[in-house]
Amino acid sequence: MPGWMSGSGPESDVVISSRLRLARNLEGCTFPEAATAAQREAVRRLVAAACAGINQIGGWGRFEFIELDKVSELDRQVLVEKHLMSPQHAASPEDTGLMVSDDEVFSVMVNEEDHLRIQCLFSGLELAQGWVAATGLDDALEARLDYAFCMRRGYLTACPTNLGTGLRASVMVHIPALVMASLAGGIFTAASKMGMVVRGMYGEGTEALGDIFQLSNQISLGQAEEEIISNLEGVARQIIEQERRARVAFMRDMREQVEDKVHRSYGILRSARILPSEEAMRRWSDVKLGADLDIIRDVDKKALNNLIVTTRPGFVQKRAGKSLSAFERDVERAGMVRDSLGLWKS
Amino acid sequence: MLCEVCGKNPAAFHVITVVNGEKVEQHLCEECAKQKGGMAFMFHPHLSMAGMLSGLFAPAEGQEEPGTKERCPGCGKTYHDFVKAGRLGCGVCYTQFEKEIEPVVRKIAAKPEHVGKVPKRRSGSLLTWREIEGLRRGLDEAVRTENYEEAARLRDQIRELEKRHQESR
Repeated sequence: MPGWMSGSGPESDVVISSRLRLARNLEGCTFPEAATAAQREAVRRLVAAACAGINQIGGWGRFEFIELDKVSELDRQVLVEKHLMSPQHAASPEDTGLMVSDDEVFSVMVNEEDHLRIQCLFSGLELAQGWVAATGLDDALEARLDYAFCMRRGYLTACPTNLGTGLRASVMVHIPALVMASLAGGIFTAASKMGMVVRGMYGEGTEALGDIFQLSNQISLGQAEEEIISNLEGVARQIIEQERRARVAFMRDMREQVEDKVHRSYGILRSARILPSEEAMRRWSDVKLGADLDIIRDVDKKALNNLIVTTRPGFVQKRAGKSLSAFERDVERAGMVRDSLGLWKS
Repeated sequence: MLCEVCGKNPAAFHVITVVNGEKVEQHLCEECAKQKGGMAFMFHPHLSMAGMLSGLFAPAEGQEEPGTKERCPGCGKTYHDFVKAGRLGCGVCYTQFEKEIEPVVRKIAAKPEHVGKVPKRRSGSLLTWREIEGLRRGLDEAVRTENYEEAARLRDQIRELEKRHQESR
């Protein structure tokens, strides 16, 4: 399992993970969407060679270079569910690639919207550490590839919204109390006024599952990376603070209702025989809140966090070793959740 | 289909919100969708950043579509292709369509000039360029305030740096 799911790290009662992403393109090469198959293939070869070079010097663990048109649709879906690449990248795999480090902290999408999308993922609120890691891998790649860069506009990207730093920093927050109090919408509106974007769990165009939202910077040009990151961290800290306050208020004024909600959901996760993915995430959210509020003490937080990924449809099928119908998936998922919570196995 | 809230206007938005962990899907008109506020918009499933951009810069109805003739020497795309797709074809497009892209960039950036990381291999010449830009602003200011002595000094400094900048490229 990727390290970002460990459920540890700073502020992990609210922040699930931190992600840094850098968009880069190669000098003199047409951007992937406008390029021919041969041009895309040439870029993929260049990056594969750079990947081999990085493996040779070491220091990054070992990178695997996956040609995505040579793996199954299910394998691609699992890579998306692990947040190692975007849903868009899985949907059109022709001449694309993915570089993944063995600890699954680093990944580089090749020929997505841009030639390179370098990303790293950490558990908890770790934006500063994340930036050091991301810029390090960026340097290692730049030593082997010629980036498209302009003095005025910075790193050149297919979409002007990524110009400049090419940086999109994001934090995945779990804010069940704000959602329960119907305060999430207002907070997101305030965050967007401060130059942040809020999205669902798998990025652009996806829904919010299990009260999990992704908060990221909107502006990439005209601000230095450190400034972008500290602005995002500032907004994230405010959301963390608000969420914690809402939790305290719920526990003070509605303790029984909160405890009831948490224990009901815990009961369902531990005993259900048919568990649709949307319900799994909804119940997960209650149980995670219960664990963070110490209402439930016997649950392994790491196992709980793993469920974010392992209950996704692709992962369930990967575990079963075959493709399943929606109903079969719900049955398989229920069994898997019971197993991973380590109780009532029969 | 009519808007589920007011029941009067045609529904133009498919809005998904999550309330108390329950997913709520609604078909709303523009007015009611606006009232639901920012969050609802963000989860419009078909609304992408690129889509928003192309919407912003498409010409008003009845206007002639601009930029359909001139092609980028790098990738053969036109500015019109960018307006349609929300994405440029290659790095050269940024130079070729600089005039058209400038207002786009100004709307979405903190400042239209990059201030962050610079590729290591090119950092020498880039730092000089940044220095020149700074001096140019100083020169404009000196001319504006009729401080001609300072202006002359800055002009010589810029010339010197430009010469070095040319040599280093």
